[in-house]
Amino acid sequence: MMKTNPLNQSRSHRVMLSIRKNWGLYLLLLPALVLTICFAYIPMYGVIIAFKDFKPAQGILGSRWADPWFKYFLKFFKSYQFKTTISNTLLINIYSLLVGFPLPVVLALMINQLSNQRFRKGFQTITCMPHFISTVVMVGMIMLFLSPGSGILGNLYRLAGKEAPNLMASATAFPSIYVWSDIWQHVGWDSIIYIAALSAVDPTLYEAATVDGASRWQKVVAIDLPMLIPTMIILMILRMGNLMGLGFEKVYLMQNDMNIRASEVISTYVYKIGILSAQYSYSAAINMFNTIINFILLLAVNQISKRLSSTSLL
Amino acid sequence: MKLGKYANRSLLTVLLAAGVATVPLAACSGSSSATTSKSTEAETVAATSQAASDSQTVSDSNASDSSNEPLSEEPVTLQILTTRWGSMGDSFTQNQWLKDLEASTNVTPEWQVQSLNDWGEQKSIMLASGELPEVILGSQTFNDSDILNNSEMFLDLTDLIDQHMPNLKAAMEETPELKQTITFTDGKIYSLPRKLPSRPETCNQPIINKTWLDNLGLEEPTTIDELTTVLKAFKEQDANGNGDTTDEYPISGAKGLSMDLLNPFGITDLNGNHMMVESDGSLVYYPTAENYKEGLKWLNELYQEGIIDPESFTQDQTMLDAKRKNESVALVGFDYAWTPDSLFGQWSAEYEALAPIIGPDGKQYAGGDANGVSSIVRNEAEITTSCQNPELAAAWLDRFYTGEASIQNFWGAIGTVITQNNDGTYTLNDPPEGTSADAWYWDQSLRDFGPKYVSSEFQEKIKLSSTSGDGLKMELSKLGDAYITTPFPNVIYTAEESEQLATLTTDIDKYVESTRAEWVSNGGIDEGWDAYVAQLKDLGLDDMIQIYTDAYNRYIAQAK
Repeated sequence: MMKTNPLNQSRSHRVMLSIRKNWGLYLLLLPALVLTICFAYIPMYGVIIAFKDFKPAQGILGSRWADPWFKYFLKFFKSYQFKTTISNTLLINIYSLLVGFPLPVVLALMINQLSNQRFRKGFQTITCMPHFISTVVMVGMIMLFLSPGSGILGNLYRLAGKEAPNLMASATAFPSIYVWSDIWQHVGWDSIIYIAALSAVDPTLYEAATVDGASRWQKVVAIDLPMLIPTMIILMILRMGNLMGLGFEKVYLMQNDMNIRASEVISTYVYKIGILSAQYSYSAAINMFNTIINFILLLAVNQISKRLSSTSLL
Repeated sequence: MKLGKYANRSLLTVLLAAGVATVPLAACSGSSSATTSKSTEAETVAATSQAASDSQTVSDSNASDSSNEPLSEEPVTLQILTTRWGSMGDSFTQNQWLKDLEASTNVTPEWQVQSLNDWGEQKSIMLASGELPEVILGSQTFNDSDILNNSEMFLDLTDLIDQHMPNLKAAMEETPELKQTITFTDGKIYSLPRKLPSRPETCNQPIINKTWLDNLGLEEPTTIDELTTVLKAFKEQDANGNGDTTDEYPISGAKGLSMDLLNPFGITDLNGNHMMVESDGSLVYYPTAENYKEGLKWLNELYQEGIIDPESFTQDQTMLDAKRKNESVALVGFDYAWTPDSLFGQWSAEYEALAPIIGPDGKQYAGGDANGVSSIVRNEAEITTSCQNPELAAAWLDRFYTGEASIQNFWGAIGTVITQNNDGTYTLNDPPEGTSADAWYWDQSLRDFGPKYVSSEFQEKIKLSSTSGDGLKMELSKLGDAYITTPFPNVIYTAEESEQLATLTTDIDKYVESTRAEWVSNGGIDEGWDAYVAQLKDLGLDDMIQIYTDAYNRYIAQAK
């Protein structure tokens, strides 16, 4: 009845064959697949509330379609918050990408150079520790540290006989506080994967380099760094996937009336308008717009990396 | 005596339960009505004769309505959702009155108690899921727009009140404002009201550290200029006497300053929506008013002088509380509060309340409500569509509307918090050592939340001590009562209005607040004013004021 493509047939045949051969591995994959479908794909139909006048009592399917269907998108484009939230989100993310991406690599290279095993383990543990502090506690700590009255910063300035600036009240300082406290908290953790990649480097490469009379620095540049590049690219692509989805909790907790101009990002605005003011359709539209932009960025970065280094996720 | 009555009652219940299987239906309903009137007698022994006779007629009328017997013969459960401030917990469910109610009605509440700290998001998730508990208590649980946007989930209570809530019905006849308050724009009643006993008229008072005044040999300030001088002295000298002249914070705040600080400029905001009613009845959005501008200039001046804690806009409530309740010595000089003992923990005794500060125009203003602050409020209880037996829920809720039930739900049970005297009056006991009266009341009762009604007749019987808690507040309130401004009333919006307001206020309020923070700390008010007003108009200020005005006019028209 249907004309089957012989190439296709053989391909699907091959897939079936491979599944039958490795059924144990596919069985291990199954729970993850089921979870993804249940919690990531099935709920996705809910985004249609971005095109509807959603009322909880009428349900997602029962609610009326918005008139026109792009009503809530238009509302966001025209909104006073449109420019502010998007530029804040991008600024903080790009800043955090530029600083936060190379630093774990540098840390990993440094740790890799440590020869004393005990010191190395201790150093690694200490840099990883802050990762396990919860966001709420972390923000509390940041506010206390930076308090000009009683905090570390205030006391340091007082020692120097100066008046401490109130950094939490400064809109210009907000991105830096956010990004650098994030680095302090996560740099150790983020470097783990690079350290693992470095430990897989073939020792004969180093031996050969030593024979050739390479210095430590030359070994780092010529061996370690090139060995890390595939890992870096994969991590970069993964990070791009979250570019617009800036961590909500931390920004929200650090917000105040003085820094709001720099700290209102898409996720906090969606929270305020969607969850606190119960404008479900509007916030769904904002978030959907956000996700589409992010998806485009992700594909672009993936494509670029495919061209340049033949490493890609998709 | 009480115990005896209950033993008697539960015996009857057992007999009844045993009888259900064998006795024909008609006989069953007959004997159950006897039970009801017995138990009502037990409850109303101490209540006023008026209330007692009311209740008597209640049970009679219910008995005649045999198909809808409100109080169950079999033990039943009722899911009840309510909210509490912060980490108050659910200790109030141990209130003896609630326990007695459970025994006398055979209705066991299944409490679901949420903290208001994160209720904002919990609420949205619960509403979006479409599954609500049977009964909702407390005006902070669901607000007008929650109810309006989800009106399909809440029952129209008009008929239930008429048929199953005799106490509330009588209350609504005595106090017509109750009905006016709970009737939504579509003419339906989705929620039940409250009227609290012993309410002060003035909301927050100026509170100053008297010990600091004495240390520095200063008089209590009465005018805004005197206040400025005093606060300046607090800042510059060693007001708390610990040898350090830099650790005093004359004024502090958490993520913003209290708008009460602008009271001397004629700005009061009881409902937190930036709207005011002028003496001629016209409405004003005060963040664009001239006196607000003057007030901010004054605050900016204080900020420049170092009088306002520079961390006021950035620190959170915990950090502020740490300053207010600092271990070694008091650090904060001036604030606005309900009572002096409500903010400053162990330093409470150092503070005292002042009369409203005389403003630049030579007048005094106080935020408050001549009918008693938040005395009459709607949304204290709702019955949802998931309720198995709305008639029973309504009859159960009606039990809250007697005078004696109301005072026990407002302060605590008779025997623990309240003492009932032989002459028929009620007095409040002193709180345990180390607890503020208010905290004790919240621990012991539903307090501000939940349905209540105290008639003016019953109010006469409540005798409060004027040295602590609500009695003290009533006493302090007298300082400001003569200067109370008219608050913007608790109006009701239509569904469309409340949807528009949600977006408008999210943007506008944030802009107003952040501009205010900017101006107070960095100045530039005159230069920035026009751009600020223009920006507000861009954000839809006119639409917002129109919505407030329409709703206000509807409210006024309804009152006439």
